[in-house]
Amino acid sequence: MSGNEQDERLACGVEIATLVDQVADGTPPADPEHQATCPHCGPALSEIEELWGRVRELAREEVVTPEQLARRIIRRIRQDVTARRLEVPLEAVVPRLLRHALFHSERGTTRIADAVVAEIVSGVVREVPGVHSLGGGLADALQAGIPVGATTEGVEVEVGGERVAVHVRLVVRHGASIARVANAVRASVIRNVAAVTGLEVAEVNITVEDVHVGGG
Amino acid sequence: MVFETQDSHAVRAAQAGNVDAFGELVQRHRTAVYRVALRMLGNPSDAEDAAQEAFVQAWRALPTFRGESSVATWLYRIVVNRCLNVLGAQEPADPVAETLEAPASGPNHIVEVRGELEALKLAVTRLTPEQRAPFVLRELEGLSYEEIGEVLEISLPAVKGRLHRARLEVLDAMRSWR
Repeated sequence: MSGNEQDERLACGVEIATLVDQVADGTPPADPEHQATCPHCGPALSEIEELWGRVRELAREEVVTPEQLARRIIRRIRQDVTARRLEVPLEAVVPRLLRHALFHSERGTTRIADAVVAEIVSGVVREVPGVHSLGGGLADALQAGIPVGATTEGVEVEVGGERVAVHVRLVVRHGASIARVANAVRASVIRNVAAVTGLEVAEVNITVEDVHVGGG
Repeated sequence: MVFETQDSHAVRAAQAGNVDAFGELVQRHRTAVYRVALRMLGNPSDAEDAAQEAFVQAWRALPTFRGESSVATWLYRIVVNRCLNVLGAQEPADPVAETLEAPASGPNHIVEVRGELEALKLAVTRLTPEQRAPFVLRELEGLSYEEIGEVLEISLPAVKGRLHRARLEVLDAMRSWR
């Protein structure tokens, strides 16, 4: 829309953008002598200054956090903790061959269990529009009852060093573009896993197992 | 920052499974996390959801927190990502609604009805998500360019470039109300 505004200059040759940054960042002028006397810079600066006052006002506006927010968060987390205690009997009984991603630093090593990554992937994928659910299809039927290592339903994660490969099986909503959903899933997994864990996602393989027809 | 030492104690305790210690982190950072979500998304109910999800995600990801950035930066990163997810999900959904509504609810109309601060909030939510995140973090949260680079995991020149375009967009919007 406004792609060429960077090039906009005042009659004196000064870029408007420079003045904007000067006001917004509160930095001293690049050329104080020029600005002090220039008939173009002066008015432009005061206009920007006046407009920018509103941005500062917005920054000062007090935002009231919803009263119950903290309590709700803690409640969710307690549920999370309880659910996990109930739901992971396998590792609890038999020490599983834990697979970890590894970060080495001078002051020690960080390990991230693949299950943690799988959990993150699972949460993120469910939120992509067009995804109906995770898992589903023949593979689930075949695997029913067979305990699989570090997987969350429909998600498998392989870790190696600081890299991770993700396999996702999912059911797409009827009417959604499968290609678009798959791309969105891939992008979202790569971005979120990197943001939260620092691991590099080497690949995201997606299998669409089924299409869900009907409401919801 | 005063919080930092307190934070690292709380983080260690929370990493060991202490939910109350995590609660401390929530108390200290909830306002900032919610505020960012509100500015990014533009409405309180979406913001509340995003803030809540961000903290739950942070709890789950605690084992991966390596203390290389401050807790505040880490939480900013998580909540901004949640917001980008939400925005990514909205964008392709209603290009039609956007064009239909534009004449009635555009900034000019809002300026008359609710004043310039509300119009400015709206102008912020009309920035592309890519520009909006650095704008909110810099102009409304007061983060440094370096901190923004850490939060968004982009280079310093990229921070400057996006912020720069965002500023010009917002200025343009404000000019158009006169």
